[in-house]
Amino acid sequence: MQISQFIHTMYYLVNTQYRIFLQTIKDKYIDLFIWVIAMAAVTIYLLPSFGLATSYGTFMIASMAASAGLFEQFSSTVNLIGDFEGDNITSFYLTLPMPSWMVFLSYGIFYAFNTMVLTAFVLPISKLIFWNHLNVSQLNVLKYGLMLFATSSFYASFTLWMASFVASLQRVGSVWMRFTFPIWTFGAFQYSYAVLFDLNPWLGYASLLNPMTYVMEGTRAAVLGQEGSLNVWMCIALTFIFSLLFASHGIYRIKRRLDYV
Amino acid sequence: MSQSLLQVKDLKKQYGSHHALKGVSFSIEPGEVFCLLGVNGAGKTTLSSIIATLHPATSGDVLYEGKSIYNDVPSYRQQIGYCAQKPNLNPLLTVKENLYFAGKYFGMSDDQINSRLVELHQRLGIDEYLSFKSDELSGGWKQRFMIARTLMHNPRLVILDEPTVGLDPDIRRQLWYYIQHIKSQGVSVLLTTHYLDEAENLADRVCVLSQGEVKLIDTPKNLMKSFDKKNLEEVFLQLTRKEG
Repeated sequence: MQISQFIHTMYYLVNTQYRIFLQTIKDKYIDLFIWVIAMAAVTIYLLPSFGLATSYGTFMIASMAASAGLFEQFSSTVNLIGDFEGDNITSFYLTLPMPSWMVFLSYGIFYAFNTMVLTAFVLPISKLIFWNHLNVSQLNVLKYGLMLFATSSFYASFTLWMASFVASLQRVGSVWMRFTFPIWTFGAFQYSYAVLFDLNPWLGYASLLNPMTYVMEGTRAAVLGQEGSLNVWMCIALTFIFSLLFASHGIYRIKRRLDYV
Repeated sequence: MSQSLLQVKDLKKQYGSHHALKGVSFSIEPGEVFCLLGVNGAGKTTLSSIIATLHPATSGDVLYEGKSIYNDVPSYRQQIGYCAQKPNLNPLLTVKENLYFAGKYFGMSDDQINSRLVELHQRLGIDEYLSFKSDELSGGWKQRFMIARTLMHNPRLVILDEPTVGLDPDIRRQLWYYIQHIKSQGVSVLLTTHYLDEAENLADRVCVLSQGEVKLIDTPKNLMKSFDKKNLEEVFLQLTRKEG
């Protein structure tokens, strides 16, 4: 069979997911913006009273723009594991006329797409709401766009990877709290890599093994300017490399888990 | 001599130390309804899922028109339709959308899908419920739509894994008529069941599986004759008693 036929089937698999996504997109935006606006409001209006710089609000909104996809993909992980355990729609897809691994590639493409669609609006909506409190004069749209694409790809591959090794739905919450939450928190979400490195270079070096560091630093470099952040091009490249690693390892482990052809 | 549509050769499947299939061999002819019979745990679902390329075999081969299916899995999948035991229509889409996308996955155009939906409606009477989501349907209707989805792309081999489990007798009968109709169109059917009346009514040949092995393969008529029994159920009971 021709590769074009595989792509045709994949396209309609993504299209199926998109059709379902449209049913819930309004709720997803509401959920996302409640989190972003609440966090930003506290950071912008309250934390300066505790001595934090007023520019920290912009810093945190950029961090949240980089993090929002992770929370969205938590629900995708739950849905995927739920499907493996229950509904088993995936088992129908695994009999479609294409190599089986392409089913999971199509899942990954959809996850990346839905992350991009949701998180692309975090920065513009935040600017509209917090206008003077959000300084985006250093924003580089090209770099931000590339970083958004790389970040979305990473979260998509991370979803597949998580689903590949979480044994059951009951375990998802524990894995999230014991693994994902720490790598996110220690992935330079609330602080910059430079601050950590100044505090302890060894912690800085260790942080370079955490893919979230590149997601956060790259996004902030694209929004706030390069000064004080890891190089944005390096962050984009490494985020893509981590995406490839997580996606390929995730798909390999799902193959073992589901024992498909 | 005409070539078998499907040949299963010395198929084995092992899960850890458990041997689910211990070297199963048989063939299915074009337009034949081939029935896999066996008690729970005999290996029927494992075997049908391997033939549907859902799971790989540990060893052995499956030939489709004389060629190993593993040489070109996607092309083989284009020729088959697999209806799993447990309904797995997408509950977030209407059943019409489920059928539409099933057609699209197999490369059908919108016109082909629409005319196929009309055909399937005429045979299965599905029109009334097309706008429903699968969770809103009864078990019988879900199963009917599962079969409709399986047949959407006009497969040459249909694999039905216990399609009538838990259904009312009248719905079972309707599905039987439809299986007979598929057969009359020249489509081969691999039907797994543990309902012996189903096998007796539908099968050209039955294959009795027990503990991952083929016990015997023959037509229902020949089996009843050679075992001197009035129906397949008595044959099956005699066979399973012998094992006991």
